[in-house]
Amino acid sequence: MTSITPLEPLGPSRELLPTEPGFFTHWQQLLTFNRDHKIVGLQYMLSSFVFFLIGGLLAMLIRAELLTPELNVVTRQFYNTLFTMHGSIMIFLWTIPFLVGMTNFLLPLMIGARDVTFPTLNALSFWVFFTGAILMLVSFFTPSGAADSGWWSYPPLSVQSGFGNLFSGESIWLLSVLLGGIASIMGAVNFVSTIVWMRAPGMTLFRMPIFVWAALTAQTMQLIFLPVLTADLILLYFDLNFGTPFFNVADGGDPVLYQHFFWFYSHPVVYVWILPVFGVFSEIIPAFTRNPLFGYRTVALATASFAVITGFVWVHHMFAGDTPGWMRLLFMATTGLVAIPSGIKIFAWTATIWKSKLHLDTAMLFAVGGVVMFLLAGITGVMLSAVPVDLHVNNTHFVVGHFHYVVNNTIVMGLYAAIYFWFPKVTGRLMAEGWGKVHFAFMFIGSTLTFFPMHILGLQGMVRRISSYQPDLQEWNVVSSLGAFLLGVSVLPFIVNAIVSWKHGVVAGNNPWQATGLEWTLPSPVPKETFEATPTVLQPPYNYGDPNVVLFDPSDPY
Amino acid sequence: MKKSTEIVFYVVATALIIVLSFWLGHKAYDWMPVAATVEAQKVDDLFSFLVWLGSIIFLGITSVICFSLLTCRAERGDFTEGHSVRQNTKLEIIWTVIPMILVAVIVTRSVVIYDMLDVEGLDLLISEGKFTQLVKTALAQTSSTPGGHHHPGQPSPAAVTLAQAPGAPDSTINTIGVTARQFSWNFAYPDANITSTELHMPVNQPVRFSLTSEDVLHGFYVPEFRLKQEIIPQRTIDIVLTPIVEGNFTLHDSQLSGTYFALMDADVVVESEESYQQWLTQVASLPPTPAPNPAFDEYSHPQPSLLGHVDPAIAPKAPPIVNYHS
Repeated sequence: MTSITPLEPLGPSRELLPTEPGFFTHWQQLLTFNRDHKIVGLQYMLSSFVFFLIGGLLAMLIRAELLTPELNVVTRQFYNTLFTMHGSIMIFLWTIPFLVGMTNFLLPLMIGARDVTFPTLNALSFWVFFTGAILMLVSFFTPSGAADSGWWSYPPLSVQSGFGNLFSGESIWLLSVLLGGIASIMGAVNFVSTIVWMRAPGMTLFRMPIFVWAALTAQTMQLIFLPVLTADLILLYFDLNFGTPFFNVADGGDPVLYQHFFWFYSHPVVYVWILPVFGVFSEIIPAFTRNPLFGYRTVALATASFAVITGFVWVHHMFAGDTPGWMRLLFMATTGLVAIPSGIKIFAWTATIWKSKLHLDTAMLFAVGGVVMFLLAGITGVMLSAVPVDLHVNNTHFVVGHFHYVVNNTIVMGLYAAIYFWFPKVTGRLMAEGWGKVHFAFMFIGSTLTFFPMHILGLQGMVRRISSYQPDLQEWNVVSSLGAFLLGVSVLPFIVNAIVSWKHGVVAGNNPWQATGLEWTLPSPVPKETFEATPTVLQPPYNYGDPNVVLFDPSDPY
Repeated sequence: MKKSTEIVFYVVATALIIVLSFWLGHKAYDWMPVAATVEAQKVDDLFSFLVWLGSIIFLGITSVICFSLLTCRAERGDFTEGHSVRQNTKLEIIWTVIPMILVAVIVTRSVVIYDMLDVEGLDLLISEGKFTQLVKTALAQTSSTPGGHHHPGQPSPAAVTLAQAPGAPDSTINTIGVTARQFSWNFAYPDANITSTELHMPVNQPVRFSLTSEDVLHGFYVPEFRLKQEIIPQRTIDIVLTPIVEGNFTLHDSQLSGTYFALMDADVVVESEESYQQWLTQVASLPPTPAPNPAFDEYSHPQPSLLGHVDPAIAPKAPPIVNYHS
């Protein structure tokens, strides 16, 4: 065993002066129109986590209803509301805003910027989002109840009832998602311009951490694709409230056009969520294997390639629709292409882990767990891309299982990994490892039990969004429901751990994981003024590996 | 481990993974419901192939990760660096090209199978695969069968031979009109001029379903038939399926259609040509009556439940009036 060689990452670390507080001094800051990117990040992350818990409760109710074949817990009407709002909350109130919050917090630290380019716009973005989120939750209390036509909100069903009622659940839902979209566009403008203009000297494109590459790609995608959804929802809002016939087939409109516009955004958006999570994996895995990220440049380019590839795959959501054969086959081929950059990433992480010096801290457990889950999600995704198979399992629980392997088992795992990893930068303290491992075990087992059986149910023909089902499908549904309750319980050790560690955790110091990256040169918690002097970056990213071999070479073309 | 032992270990592990994956691919047929149409068999073949391929990739990569987790652990507090290898161009090219080849193989195979299915139902190319063989067998056995070739618009003679029903129509393919509405199915048999809420069809003959919706989007889905088709209001969409297994199945609405979506099922009966003809004749004599409808019943007699609005957003339309219902 060689002697311990602590890494000197990027020049001398900055120490927190005894008189200098962290950026977050009292909770009232969260209620203000604050222009500090770290506070905005925290506002996004904390509020979206509360929404995550609400979305999770709705999921528990859905799974409680599906414990038995008959309808016996909720009314059919409320069941439709449950899955609609579960999906909407998890997507628009949890995954997207949490990632925006995380990007807000980390991005400037990672590229050596003092803040984002437009701090006021950034603060405005949060409050626009928050207004939309409250609207969505309030819609539960309208006389007709919240929206109930699925998070796709396909017409004609979505405009069938509540016509002209500006306060119908559907109408408020549309407004809420529109506000969320506007907030996302504000965020995207900020992030893209920050990455383009505010990188520290020496932070060339190929020295950016993969998380920054992911943010650049994902936020550019928001700018390209999100306006299409915004237009789509505005047209639907007009159809619903003012009787325009954009999607009304009886008056010459076309409901299928809505689907094209909807998926033109809503497929790429999956990558807007998952790319930053791939970024998280790419930060954490090298730190806990003590190896540089294998094939960094290929991974960076693979990340960017998603912006192009995923723009041409949306019709695979409509294979079972009235889609001509040539279009089905064309989009099957383009969808298959997604497997290539995804494969590159999985191979790169695997190669980084191979023959490494592994530390299985909680953050790493979540990261590796997420990678394995994503592998399965990718494989079922390729199965779904094959038109003949898709025609069987489309709109069944197979699809529900597949995308929950993406959104819960990969993305939420990745977000937890990120929380355990960067918690010290927010609080100055480490989360407790023991409780973290309990959390991981519950979550990993719970997620698998909940979502794996759904694949089998879907193959057997269990349609999604049904509130009652044939009795012969009960066994796997019971497994899935019990798994879901375990998954629900798994959040408790996390919450306790986070709250207790925030006050009483082990003091972390600047760089508890001996990780590379500019954020680890800063004190924990990060002070309000992050970089007193703009740092100069002299090393390639992920500069792990034998320090005697990897030396900075001034002629390095990075 | 010695280098040679290591290589033997890897070879054995790889072999095990391939065998296990092959077995899973074989088992994949059992995860599906009965394959009750010619199309279903094609879909299952493709699915089995994808499971086989997917298992190799999944088991391969997770084995490498798990093996590393077991063998590459650092001691607590040992923050020394690992190896410094940052890249390997050959390896990276290999792992970019391999997925490309796999995707190309999968897409090609899917296109070939999709062509066989011809779900758009424009002609009987569905018969090309299995039925060409059956035709050959049938011709060899019964040389007296006239018209050994089949062309669009005609059922293959093999279907007739298999059904062993001399009365089977051989001029046109059976067409059944399927009308979906909230929340019932209505099947019209234009040739026999009857309607039903139970879907009857003869075995071993291609059937064209002419799908329409009176209100919102619906989906035509019998899991045992595999191929699913979304139904769009004010469009008529045709699909052609060839059931090959007699039995009772269930048709589900597969596209969210409102409050009572889950109750929008219909019984499907695939029967011999004889009993199908009997059924047609028997039903032709029945006067049209309102069919029982679970959605309408539940709407009229709401069930008590713990949570939620009792008022449905979308009331079911009155049950259809048909010649036959179960």
